[in-house]
Amino acid sequence: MIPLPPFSLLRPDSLDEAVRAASQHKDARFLAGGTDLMVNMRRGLLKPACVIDLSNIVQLHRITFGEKETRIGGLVSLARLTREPELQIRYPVIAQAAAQIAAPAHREMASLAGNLCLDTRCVFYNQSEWWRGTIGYCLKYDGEICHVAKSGNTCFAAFHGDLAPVLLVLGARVEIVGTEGRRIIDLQELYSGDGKAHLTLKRGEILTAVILNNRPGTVARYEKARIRSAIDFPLAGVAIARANPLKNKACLQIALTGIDVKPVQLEGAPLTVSLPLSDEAEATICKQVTQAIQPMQSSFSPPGYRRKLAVNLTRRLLREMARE
Amino acid sequence: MALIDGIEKVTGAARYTADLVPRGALAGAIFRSPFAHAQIVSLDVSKARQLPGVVAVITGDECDKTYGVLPIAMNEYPLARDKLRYRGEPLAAVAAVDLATAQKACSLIKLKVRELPAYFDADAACAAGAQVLHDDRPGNIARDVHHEFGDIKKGFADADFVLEESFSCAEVTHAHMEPHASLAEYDPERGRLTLHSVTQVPYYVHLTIARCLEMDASQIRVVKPFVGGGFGARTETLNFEIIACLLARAAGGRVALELSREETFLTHRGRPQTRVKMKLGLTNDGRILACSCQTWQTGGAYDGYGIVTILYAGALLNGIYNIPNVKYDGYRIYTNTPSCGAMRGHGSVNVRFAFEALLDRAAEKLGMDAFALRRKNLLKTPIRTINDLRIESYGLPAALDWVEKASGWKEKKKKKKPGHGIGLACSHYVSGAAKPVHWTGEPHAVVNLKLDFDGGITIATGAADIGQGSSTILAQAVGEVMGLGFDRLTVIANDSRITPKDNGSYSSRVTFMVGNAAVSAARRLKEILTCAAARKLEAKPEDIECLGEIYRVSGRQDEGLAFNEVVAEALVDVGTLTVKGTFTVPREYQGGRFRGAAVGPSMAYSYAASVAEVRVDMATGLVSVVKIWAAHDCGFAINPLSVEGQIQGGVWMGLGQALSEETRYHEGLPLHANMLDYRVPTMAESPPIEVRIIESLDPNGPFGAKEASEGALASIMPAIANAVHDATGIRFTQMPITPDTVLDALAKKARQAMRGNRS
Repeated sequence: MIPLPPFSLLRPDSLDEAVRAASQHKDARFLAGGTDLMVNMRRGLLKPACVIDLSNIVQLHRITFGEKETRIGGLVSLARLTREPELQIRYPVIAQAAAQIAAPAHREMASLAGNLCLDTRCVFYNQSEWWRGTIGYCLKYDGEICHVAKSGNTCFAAFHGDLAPVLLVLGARVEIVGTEGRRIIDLQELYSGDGKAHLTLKRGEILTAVILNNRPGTVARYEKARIRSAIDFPLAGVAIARANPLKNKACLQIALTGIDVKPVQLEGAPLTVSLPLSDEAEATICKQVTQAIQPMQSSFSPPGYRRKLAVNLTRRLLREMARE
Repeated sequence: MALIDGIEKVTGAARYTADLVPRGALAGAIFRSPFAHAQIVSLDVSKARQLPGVVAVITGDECDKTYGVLPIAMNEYPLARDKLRYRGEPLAAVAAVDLATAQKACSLIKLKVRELPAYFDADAACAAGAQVLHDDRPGNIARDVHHEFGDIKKGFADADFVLEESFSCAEVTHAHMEPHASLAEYDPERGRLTLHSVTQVPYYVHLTIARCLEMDASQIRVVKPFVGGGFGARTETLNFEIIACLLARAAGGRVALELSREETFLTHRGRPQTRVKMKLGLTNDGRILACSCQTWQTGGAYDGYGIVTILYAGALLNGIYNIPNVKYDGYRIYTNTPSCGAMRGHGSVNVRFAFEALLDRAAEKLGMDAFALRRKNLLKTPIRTINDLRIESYGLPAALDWVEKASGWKEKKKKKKPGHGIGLACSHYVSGAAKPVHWTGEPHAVVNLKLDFDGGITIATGAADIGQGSSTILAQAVGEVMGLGFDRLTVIANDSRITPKDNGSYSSRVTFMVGNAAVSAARRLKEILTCAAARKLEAKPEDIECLGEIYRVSGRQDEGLAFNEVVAEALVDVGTLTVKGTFTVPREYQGGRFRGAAVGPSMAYSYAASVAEVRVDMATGLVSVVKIWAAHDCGFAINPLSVEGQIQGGVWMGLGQALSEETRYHEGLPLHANMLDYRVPTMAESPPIEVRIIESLDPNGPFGAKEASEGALASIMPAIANAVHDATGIRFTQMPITPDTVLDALAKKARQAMRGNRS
C-alpha cells in the first residue's frame, strides 16, 4: 500500500479566504475534484504541506447563462457539464466532450478547472517514487535528465485534457483570482508551452471560471481516440468550430490535445475556407495540423502514430461537419 | 443457482486479508532492488534499525533456504542474497508501528552493488557471451524441451503444402482485483505461526513456510480468507508471503504486509512474452499431417512454474485435432525482469493463437471454409493421443456447429460489411493436472463431511475458492447426492487446522477432482443414513429410498422418517458422524514415460469454439469487437450461471490480450504497473458475449463435469486476429493488435497496392 503523505487540509468558504490561506501557507495546493491531484500526491509527485479544498466555495459551482456570455464556475463537475440542459443547447460540444472523459465515477468528482489545469503526463513521470528514483528521476520533477529526449533540456510531458481544445475553438477566456486580484485571459495564455511548468498561473492563483461569448450559429465538434473507450486519456483529440457559415464560406477554428506539451490551436486561425471544402483545402489543413504539433515518446503509443491520428481525426471531423 | 458466498461479496460483508488486520499489528514494508542485475557488495540496515518505531529489519541473512513451486527448480530466495536479478526484487523488509515508519526505514537502507550487464529480452539473454543469471544454467536457458511424436519428416514430406509463420505475443499479467496481502502472526512463547494470505494454494504455502522458516509444519497454520481473484498469479508461494512470516518471527508478533498495486505487478508470475515459429503441413483436401512448433518464452529472473509453462505449450499442441506427427522445441529463457508463472490457460494460449492463425491461412490457401477445415481434422474419440493424452469426451464438433449457426457465419461470409470481419478459432484445456507437483502417494483430493445432532452438514475442504465458485460446486455436489438443499450445508474451506489438505486451485482441477471427492464423501454419508433409516424402519438398506429430507421404505405407504429422525438414529452409539471422500487419478491417465510427460495429461479436456466479429476503424486503427459467440464443452454444467460467468471472464481476458493488454519494461522497470496503463478492457468496450454450454458428459467427471474456465480463453486471440484479417486482408502476427500497428499495416498494404497498380 502507498499511503498519502501527511498534509493539513483547509476548507475555506469564500474565495478571499482561499486566496488568503494560500498566501499564508508557503507550500499549498488547491484541491478541486482531486482526480489528478490525489493520484499524483500518492505517487509522491507533489508533497504539499497544505491542501486547500475549494469545494465549499459556492460561487465556483455556479453556471450563469447571460445574454452575451456564458460563465461556468471552475468547480462545476464534468458530470454536470454533460447534463446541464441550457449548456446542451448553447454548447452541445462541451457536453459531448465532457461525456467522453475518463469514466463515470471520475466525471462525478472531476471539475472543469481541474481538467483545464490537468498536469502534463509522461510514462517516465506518472510512476511511483520508487520507480522514478530507480532511474534518477526526470527533468519534470526532482531530476535533471529527460528520458524521452536524453540530450534535451526541456520537458516533453504531454497535455491530455479534453476540454481545453473544445474551449479554445469556442474562444473561451478564463477568470483567475489571486492575491493581486482578478484577471481575465484568453484560455490559450493559460498554457506556458513547457511540460515541466505547464500553466502560467502564479502561486496562490485560482482558475475560478470559464467565460464564453455567446455565438449563435457556431457549430463545434470534438473527436478523440484512445485504446479503451473509458478511463484512458486521449492519444489525440481534435476540436473544430465552424463559425458564421455564410452561404459558401466558413471560418474554422481547430485545436488539438494529447499531442504536445500544451493544447495546440492552429495558428492564423480562423481559417476561412470555401464550401464545400475542396480536397486541396482539406489537405492544406491536415498539413497545418502535422506541422503544428509535436508528439514525443511520452506515452505508450509511438509519436508517429499520434501524429497520424491527429491528422486522420481532423480529416474525419472536417468531413463529418461538411455533411451536417 | 447463485454462489453460496455471493451475498457476502455483494453486501461488502466478505472479509479479505487486508480487512483482517487487527489493531496493534505491525506494518510491513519491503525494500526492493533498484538494479536489474547486480552483485550485492554491502547492505547496511543499521540506520533503519535505529529509527524509532521500527521493530524488526530483516535481510537475506534471515533465510538461506531457496524456494520455488517445483521441487526440481527451487532457485529463489525470499530476500535476495549475493545477487540481484530484477528491478523490484525484495532485498530487505521492515516491520514497524505503522506503514509510514516502515517505509521511512526502507529509505534509510544503504545498498552497494557491482552492476552486471542486464538482459531484458530472450535474444539478449541468449546471445553469445551473455553473463548467466544463474550459475547452473548456461546460456540463460532455464529449460529446453524437445519432443517428437510420430515421424515429422515423413509428415511434411507427405504434405501437399507447408505453411510457416512466426508469431509473437507480449507479456501479460493477471490483474486480479485484490492486491497482494498477507497477515502473519508469530507466537514467540509457543513458537507457532499463523498466516492469512491471498493464495490459491494454501498447501504449497504451508510447505514453503515450513521450509524457509525451518519450522515443523505442525507448528504452522495457513488460512485463506476471501480472495479477490488469482487467475494463476497465486498458484505458487509468493515472496511476500514468506517475508511476512519471517518478519513476524523476527518481530515476535503480528505483521500485516499489504503490497501496493505496483508491487503486485512486480510480483507478477504472468504469461511470458512468447515467440512461436509454427509450421504446418497439409494435404490438398485439408488434412493436417504435420505440425512443428518452436517456442521461446521470456521467463524472467527465476523459475517459478517455468518448466511447466514451456511443457504445456508443447503438450497441448495435441488433444484437439487429429495430427499424426508433431514436433516441439521449447526454450524457457531467464531475463532480468520479474518472473513469469502460471496464468489462465497456462502455457497453451500463445501457441494456440499461432496454430489457429496459421490454420486460418491454410483455409484461405485451400479456398476452404474455416469450419470445414477444422471438421476435417477432428479427433475420433475415445483416443490416446501420440503424446499419451487420453480423451474420452469431446464436445468440439457440437461447439463448432453452434457457433457457426449462432454467429450467422455463412451469411456474414457471403455479405460482407465494409470494415467488418469475422473469425473462428478453437481451443482446449486440461481438467486438472493428472500428476500433482508433489508426488506423495496421497489421493489427488480429499473432502470431509461432518453431520451432527443439529442435522447440518459441514463440508470441509482445502480447495481454494478465489472467486471461481469452487465452494458452491462442492456444496452442490454434496446436496445433489444427498438430495438436500443449501440450507443444510455449510462449506468450511482453507484452514489448515480444520480442513483436509488440497493441492490447490490450479490447472482447473477443483470441480473435477475435489468435486469427485465430495461426491464420494456424500455417497458414504448417505449410505450411513440409509442404514440408520433401515434400522429404524426395520427394513433392508437396499429397500430404503432417500428423498433428501425424507427416508422411507420404497413401495410402503407410510410417511417414512424425516431427515432429523434419521440423523438421530445414525448418531446412536457413535455420536457425531465424520466421513471422508477421496479421489485419485488412475495411473493410466497419468501420461507417458518420456521426460516431461507429467505435463499435459488429465482425465478430461474441455473444448471451445469461438467466433469473433470485429470492426476496424481505418482512420484510427482501433479494432472494436462487435460480438463474440463462445461455445464451451464443460462436460456438464453443475452450475450453469457460474459456468457462463467463467466463460465470459475467459473470453474477456482473451479480448484484453488480443487488443490492449501488455506489460512493457524500460530497462527492466515495468511501464504498466498500474490499472490505468495496464489496459484491461472496461465495460465500455466489452462486446456482448453469447455463451453456449456444450455438455459432452465426461465418463469420469462428477456428474459428467469437466473444466469450465480456462479452455475458451485461448480461442479468443486467434478468433479476433482471424476476424481482423477478414476485415482488412492483413494477418497480424503480433499480440496485442495495437492501433499503431494497424495503421502501419494498412499504410503498407496501400503502398503495395499502389506499386502493384503501377507495374
